[in-house]
Amino acid sequence: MRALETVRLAIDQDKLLRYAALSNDFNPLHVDPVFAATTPMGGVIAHGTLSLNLLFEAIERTVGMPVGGSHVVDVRFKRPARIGDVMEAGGVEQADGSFVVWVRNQHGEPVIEGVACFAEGGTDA
Amino acid sequence: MKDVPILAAAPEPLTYDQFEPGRSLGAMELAIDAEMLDQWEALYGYRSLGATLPLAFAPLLLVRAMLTIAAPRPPGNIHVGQTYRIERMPRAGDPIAATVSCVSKEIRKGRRIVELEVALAERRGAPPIVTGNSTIFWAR
Repeated sequence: MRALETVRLAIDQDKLLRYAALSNDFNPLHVDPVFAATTPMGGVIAHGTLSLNLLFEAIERTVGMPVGGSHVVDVRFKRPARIGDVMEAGGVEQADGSFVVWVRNQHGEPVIEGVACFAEGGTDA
Repeated sequence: MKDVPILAAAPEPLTYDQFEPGRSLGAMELAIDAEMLDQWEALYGYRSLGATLPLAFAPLLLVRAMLTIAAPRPPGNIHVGQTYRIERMPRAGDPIAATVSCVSKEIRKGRRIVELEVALAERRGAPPIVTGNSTIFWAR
């Protein structure tokens, strides 16, 4: 069974601000520590797709772009990532050819989980 | 990045009651310029892995279009799930037409659940090359 190439990223305030500009998502929950401290989250959390993008990088580095079909990725956001966390994206192939995929924090806890099917070499996913 | 919204955003936060399954929320043109690629490289440490935009630009472009068109949003929304279908990625500098529509909505266990679809195409009306469906707990 194949595994996706592992991709890691340490989350810090600078990265959150850069991603806010890239995504046009300046929700104060992501960029304003004072406001975020007053919410049920208790502090700033990272944009979900900031971490998710690591999974897509892992997919491209491992299986490349779609060929003859579409890559399909279905994920759920399980818990927030916070400043100081180190995200690690990966995945492992299943018997049916699909992949179980994830992004986990430095404690091994799932931040994002899902399944993916890839179009490789003319096989529609 | 000089995005061009085609329909103006609503003046007040969108509410659950306003969503109509099957109805488009709007469209826009996305543009990727060198500044955006610089920001990406500074964040993720690479600019491209091939001839096109990175595969990881798919989530970025979809969320950027959704947040621009489905706006403003009430505070407290929670993005819980996402499905992507990617046929191919555009090249940097290619025009990208984005449309956002409501696929479904339902109230389950007291939660207002809205599914929005964002489709990216090479021009308005063309078949999508990237599609994303977001499941969101809508706050009100």
